[in-house]
Amino acid sequence: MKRYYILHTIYFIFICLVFINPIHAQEFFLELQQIEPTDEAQRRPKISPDHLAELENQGYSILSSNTKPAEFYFHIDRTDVSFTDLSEGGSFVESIEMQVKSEGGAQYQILNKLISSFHSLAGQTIEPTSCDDGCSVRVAKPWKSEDSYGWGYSIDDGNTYRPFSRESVGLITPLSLSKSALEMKLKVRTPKNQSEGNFQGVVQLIALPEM
Amino acid sequence: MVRFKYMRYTFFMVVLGLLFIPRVVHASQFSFSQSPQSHEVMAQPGKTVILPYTLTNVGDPSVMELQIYALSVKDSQGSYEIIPHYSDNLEKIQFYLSNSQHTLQEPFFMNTSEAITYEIAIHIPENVREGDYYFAVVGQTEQNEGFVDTSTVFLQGGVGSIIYLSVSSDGSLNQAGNITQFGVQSNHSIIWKNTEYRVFDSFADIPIVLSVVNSGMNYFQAIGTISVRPTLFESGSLVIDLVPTHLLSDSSKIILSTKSLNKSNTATIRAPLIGVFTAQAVVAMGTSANTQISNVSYVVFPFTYILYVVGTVLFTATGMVFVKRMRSG
Repeated sequence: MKRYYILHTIYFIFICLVFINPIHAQEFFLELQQIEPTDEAQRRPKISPDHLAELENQGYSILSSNTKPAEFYFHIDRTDVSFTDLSEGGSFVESIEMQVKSEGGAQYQILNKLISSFHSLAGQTIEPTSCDDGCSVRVAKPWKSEDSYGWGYSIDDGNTYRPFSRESVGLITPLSLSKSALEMKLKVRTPKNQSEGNFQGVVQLIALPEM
Repeated sequence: MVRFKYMRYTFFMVVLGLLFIPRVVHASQFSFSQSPQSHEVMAQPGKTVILPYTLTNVGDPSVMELQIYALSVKDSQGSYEIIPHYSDNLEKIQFYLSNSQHTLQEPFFMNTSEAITYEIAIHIPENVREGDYYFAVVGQTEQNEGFVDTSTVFLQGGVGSIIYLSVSSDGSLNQAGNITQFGVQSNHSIIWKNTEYRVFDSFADIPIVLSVVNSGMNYFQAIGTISVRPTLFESGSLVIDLVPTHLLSDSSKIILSTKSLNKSNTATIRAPLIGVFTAQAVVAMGTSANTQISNVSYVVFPFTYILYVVGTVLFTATGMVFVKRMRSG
């Protein structure tokens, strides 16, 4: 008898769950009726030939023009990053802060590109990092191993790194301009037997607005 | 005489001390702005278009140059790819500075708070293919690789504006697009009456992805909404506004909304307690009346809550039986 009570309790809970919310039937395809069918004429809006000839006679060569007059601003807090004696070996990390502002609140992208490899006048080169487990210019990975040497950058506070690319590659940029500040960490790790010399590399950072 | 010697030593000490006081060194900064952000231009083959720009230096004095880049989109998140564009081929679109003695890529000095206005002339050859061409006009620092006495990485900054150039002999547009993906992301689904329903637990996050492709020859703006409405249980509906998005020709893009979490996510909404829902995306593409509609259905069911309730009931029942046996024993 007790079993029936338990079963009835379970049934009651199920019924309560099912009927706890009011049921609303279909009501949502009304707006489909408002959509007009399309045709070829609508797909191809044209300036009339007469109007076009008139514009040409007036010396106009632009058929239409729309300018977004807002200003687009890009700031990098330093244009050179110096490292202490790399020949002693070890890990060296420097931060670079970038900021983008747009009057129109547009999205933006920051593209980076390796212009010149990190090399010395003697021809020695510090190679791009491959991180702990083979990162690439498009895939960032953790770089914590002390046996993994090279140089690269991080845009997630040092959690993952990747090398610079010879082709322009976009940084991951925030969705809104309210988070327009972006920090890049530049890391160099050299072995203790690193050859002496002053190394120089050039990286390009270009900010572009999105429509 | 002795007093004079002391004064001289003191003076030398002060000078040496000043030399060894650590000074705060400020590295040079790149701070430039350029306007306008973009020019959308439709022009005829064989014509020349002139576009004005203003470049302003609000940072340290810099040696700058102007560079034109050809721009394309390389992934579904709209990531740009740029390659330098040189006007060395008469069959390609030509760029040069209008009303200027100077040339593009020619270095020039800009002082702090200095602004320059310049005009970029674009000549479209007669035989160029009709369609869209996208460029970036970038004011960038000239490559700096001078001798330094420490290991240094030089950062070359650049700020750009976009040119959306549509070449057309008669002003016609070829705008065509489709919704390539519209769905909710869940690992579980059920099929009922030939319809697949994605399944979510109550109050779980429901990620929605909407992707649109531009299969035409001209860019267009995609605008629209996603409306989420219940078909069974629950009440009320949710309308999510899509962020008006420009799609370049031969590219696809995930459309963002006011509820996007990142650039690979159109929206993320919170599931209610229970119900069957239909999400409908309505996207208008371009100036023509090309409107695409896509639907996806999903089920929300309180799996976790049911598990808890059944577990509680079973636990209570087991406890009651145990207590009864203890009493009877």
